[in-house]
Amino acid sequence: MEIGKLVEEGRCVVGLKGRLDAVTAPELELSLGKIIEEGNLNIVLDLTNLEYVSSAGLRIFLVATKKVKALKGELCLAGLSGNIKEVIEISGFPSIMPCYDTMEDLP
Amino acid sequence: MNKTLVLSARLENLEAFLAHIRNSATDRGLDVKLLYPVELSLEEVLVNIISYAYPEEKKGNIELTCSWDSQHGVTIKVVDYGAAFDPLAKPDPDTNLSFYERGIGGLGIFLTKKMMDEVVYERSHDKNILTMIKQYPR
Repeated sequence: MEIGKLVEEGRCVVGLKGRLDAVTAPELELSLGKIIEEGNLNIVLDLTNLEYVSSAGLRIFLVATKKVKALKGELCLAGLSGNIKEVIEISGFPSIMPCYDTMEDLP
Repeated sequence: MNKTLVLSARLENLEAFLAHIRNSATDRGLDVKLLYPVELSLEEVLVNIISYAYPEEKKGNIELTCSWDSQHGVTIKVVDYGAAFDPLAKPDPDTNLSFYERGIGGLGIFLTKKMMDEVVYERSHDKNILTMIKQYPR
């Protein structure tokens, strides 16, 4: 999995590419922890190029959301389509955090 | 033809198990994108076994078999020799609960039940046997 980071317009866009599974999830947990520690409290996870996510990855989304919410920030998911969108919907994430189908849909 | 892969229950073998299923699907000409629900379900089941079935100092094996039928359905069988454990017995997480009420975890097997057409657990001869079926109608 590749993790890209771009700070723009007061928010931090974290792009995920490839496979987010039980093996690669700890890597994302570390990266997001660092990004939050650096003071980025408005985080967008761009899943446009994510090919695969399992519950290990979804768990990281939840952990990071809890962290930024505790600091009065917000984390949202963008670029949801196909299988990834289905899994995120089945898991009930849209009622927990803002979810957008494309990056263009972001407010 | 049934192919069985036997490897020790360790996280570093997860990718090999998933690749086994992916290869069997591509051998049949199935688009790997269509395999996502199967791959996801298999990962959830394997991670459970890897985490809980055996003591850390004595990791046993996992046997993974996949077979395709003439209707283009796939049957995945996962066997371990750990303590008796029915992953399906756990209640589903309440996905209607609000963010602060909801704990992390318990989601994996819930997703497995949702994504596969059939999931069956049985305990037989000191083995945990989990069988999952996904249909791919033409």
